[in-house]
Amino acid sequence: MRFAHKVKRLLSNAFQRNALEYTLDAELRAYVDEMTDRKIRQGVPREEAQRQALLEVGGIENVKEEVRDSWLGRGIEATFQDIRFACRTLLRSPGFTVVVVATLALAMSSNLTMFSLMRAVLWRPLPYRDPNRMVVIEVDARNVLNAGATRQELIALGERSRSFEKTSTVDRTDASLEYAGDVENIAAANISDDFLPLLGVRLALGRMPHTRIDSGRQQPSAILISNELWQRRFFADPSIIGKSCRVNDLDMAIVGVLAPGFHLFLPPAIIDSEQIDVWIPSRLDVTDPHRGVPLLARLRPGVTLGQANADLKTLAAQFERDYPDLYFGSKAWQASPFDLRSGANVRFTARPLHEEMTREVRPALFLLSGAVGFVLLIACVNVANLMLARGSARQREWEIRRALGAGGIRIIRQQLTESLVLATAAAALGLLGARLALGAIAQQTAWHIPLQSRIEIDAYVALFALVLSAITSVLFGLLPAWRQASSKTGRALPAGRSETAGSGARRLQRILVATEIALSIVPLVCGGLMLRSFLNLLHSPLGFDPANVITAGVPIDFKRYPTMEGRLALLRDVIDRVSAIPGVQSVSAADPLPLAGQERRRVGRPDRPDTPPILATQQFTLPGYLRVMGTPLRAGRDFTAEDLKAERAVAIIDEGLAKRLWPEGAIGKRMVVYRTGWLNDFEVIGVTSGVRVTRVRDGNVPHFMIPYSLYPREMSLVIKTREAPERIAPRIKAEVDAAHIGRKPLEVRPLSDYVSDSIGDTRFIMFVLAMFAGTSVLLAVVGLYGTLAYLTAQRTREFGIRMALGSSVGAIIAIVLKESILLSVVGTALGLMGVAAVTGAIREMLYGVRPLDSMTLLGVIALIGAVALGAASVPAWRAARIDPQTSLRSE
Amino acid sequence: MPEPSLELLKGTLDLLILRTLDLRPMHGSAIAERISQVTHRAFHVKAGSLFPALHRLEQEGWVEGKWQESPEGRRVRSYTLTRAGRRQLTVEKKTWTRIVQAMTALLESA
Repeated sequence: MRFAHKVKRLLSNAFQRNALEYTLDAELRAYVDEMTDRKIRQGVPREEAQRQALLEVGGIENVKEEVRDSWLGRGIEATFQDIRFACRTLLRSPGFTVVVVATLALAMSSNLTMFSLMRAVLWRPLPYRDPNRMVVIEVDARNVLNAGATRQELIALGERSRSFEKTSTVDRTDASLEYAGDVENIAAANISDDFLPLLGVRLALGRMPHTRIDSGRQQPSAILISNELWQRRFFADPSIIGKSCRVNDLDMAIVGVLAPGFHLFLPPAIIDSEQIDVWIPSRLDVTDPHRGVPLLARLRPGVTLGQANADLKTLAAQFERDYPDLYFGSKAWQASPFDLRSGANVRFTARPLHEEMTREVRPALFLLSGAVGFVLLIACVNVANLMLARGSARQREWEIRRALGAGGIRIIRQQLTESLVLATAAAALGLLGARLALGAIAQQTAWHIPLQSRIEIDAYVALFALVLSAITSVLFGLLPAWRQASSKTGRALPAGRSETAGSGARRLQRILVATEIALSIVPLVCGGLMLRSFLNLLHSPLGFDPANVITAGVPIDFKRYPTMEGRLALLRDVIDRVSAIPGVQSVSAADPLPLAGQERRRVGRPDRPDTPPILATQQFTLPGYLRVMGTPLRAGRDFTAEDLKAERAVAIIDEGLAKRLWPEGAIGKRMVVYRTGWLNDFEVIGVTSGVRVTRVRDGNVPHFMIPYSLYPREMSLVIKTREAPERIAPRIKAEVDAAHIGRKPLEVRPLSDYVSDSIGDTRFIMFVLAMFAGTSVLLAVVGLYGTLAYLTAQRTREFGIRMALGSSVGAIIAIVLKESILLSVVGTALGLMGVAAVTGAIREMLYGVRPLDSMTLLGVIALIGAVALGAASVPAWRAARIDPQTSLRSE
Repeated sequence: MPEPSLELLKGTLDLLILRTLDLRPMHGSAIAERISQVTHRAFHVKAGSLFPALHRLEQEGWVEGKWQESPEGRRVRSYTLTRAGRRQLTVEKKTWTRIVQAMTALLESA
């Protein structure tokens, strides 16, 4: 009640200010009139009566001012006055204001950008129903981490587990959609029945597909489509439900349309695209023993992750007991004699979905957030320093204010208001900058950020900007304000004589500059380490030479070319045609291409069944592949046309694998590749140098190649040519088309693209970090220079006296340089301590560099040294040119 | 020559005004006049204290000001005690009584 009354009062005071003032005026006038009348009645002449009445009242304006003080909201008004005054003061020194606002805006925009990223990626809950209950179940089976589940396990987990409400799986695939005569390639996903209900998605039209209804003769017969596809391809026609289209050459009915705005957010290892246009219900074939099925589940309400994992452990033991042929013995997945040993052969681990999605980017996000935090701190210190210097210049102003009766609190308040005005302006600019930066991040493709479509500037970011400006204004404003307020009162006002600044102010400035240097060391070292990592990646031995190699996908229509002979002949034809293009030096084909997806198989020696098998990457190649790629052959030979024709079981392995299996020499040895339920035996005919096909970072993953003729698959051409990719691409496409492969040739890309994609994240993070490091160093340099210049200027008289007393110019320069070097040494020492504490955290993002890499540290120290000398040079030069006579006379 | 007017104790002006308005609504100068009369000119309330106090009480919601015609035919801002004001008066009266008792006890103690 009382509160409501006060609010009402406050509002009416604020909005009916004029009425209030009018009332007050009229009331006081009436009072004075009454007093005057009273005096006239007592016989005082009119004019005298009026004078006496006014005198008694004590000045109408004074009374008014006192009454106004009793009005609610007076404090707010005073604040507005402070703000107006602060703005006027700041506008009077535009140089200072621009430098401060720009410095802070730079720091704030980087912080707001990182905050937006962190919020969208790490903190904002996923847009699913009860997202906290969604988990990914990781399956480690038979000594392979993250091997994926079998279909049987998926179903059994759903049936037997008490912890999960639903379990499901999804599999991304490409599909060709044919409707009304038009064919297009679209992103599709095969889903188990519980997948969409598990996410809690809503439909715009129709119903969910379900394998019980929508399966005809082994094949799915219905699909669900995305809202986007519905809008784009079917012109949002509601009568589309029930109509038929062809997906991958099968007739399928459209039974439903998803609600608009649905994005799929899953761990990149499962599906990394947010947009899936066609959802195909697929029945789980329990007889399929292959692993690799990703498991998604929803916890029952009230079940904790710990309980679920305990439950999963029990179930794993049950599974091993109930299905021994799935987990033990030669028929089990990728059977090897090694697996016959008992022990835990399968392990399920439930992890929160959101955490799994962001696991890979988390360290980078934290690194960059840390870096921007440092930038902000440095900016604050820098601005505090500037304010301090300006404070000294405004000494007289504050002295006068204090003499007129301003209290310490009032002076602090006025200064903090100034800080707040500066910080708020900077935050507004910072929001603008963050918007631009986020736009640029959305454009770049090098660093894949999960949940990218959710990155935006929303109310939370704006709120954070406000909080940030409040915090920073205290950070950079309080220290100088406190200094002003606490400086001694009662001192005579210095009448124009420039005094040397108190030693206290000087010490404070020195401390601030040393802090700035210390703070800038940390991002600088991190940036240096990332740069070294990136350079190491650039020069890491790939085992092939991506220069002048162009790739092109050749998807063969398997229906048109059912036999291996037919496909081989077709490929031969494609290769001959492409080879005939002028400028093409050599052509071959492989699958998968290096650094573009990977296949891992376990390999071992048939004569040593007890040794654990080795996980190696597998690649299918045609003869001539090694030559096109420039992969050096260390021993043996490449595949030949005869190998293909005779379907010989031969293999080429890389040095890493050769050394591990046969240190004595691998040529002619037999190698086994364990596959689901059976195994292959190959003769090793060649050994290449180490080849990296997973990521540029992954240095010692063993690798082997086998000839194309063993399995039907889609291949990609590798073409050695000096022609520019964009010039030769149309001709390659035309030649592939002319060979009648039955499908459109896929994109033509230089092989170097795959390499730069593979190190793109490191490059991007390094680039951003370098920008932050550069900013912090720049700020530190400005701070150092400013302080030195200021301190030197302050000591002009002292230097003048020294010179007059016979000091040499060199000695004066030495004083200034010593100051600079001292500050940087102290700052650097402090910073290095910080580095030791911080860099361990980024260990996993580095490549070929230790967190305390001496080269980087020395480089940073050298840089700071150079910067310190550079910053000192101008003030030192100025000090050296001081003329003792003028400097002493200038007072 | 009357005795010089007393310095108003801090906080007592509110009580004086509330008590005065308890009789009937009055405008500023009438309140001052009334206080002066009743206290035998012991308290002389000046405009510089009267009006801030009146406005403060109004902001608190204890009195309410309205423009009215005074008996002399002058447009004046007349203040009325609100219900909350009456409650406040009771509270302040009690407080005052306790102060008086305490002071008396102290001054008359042997």
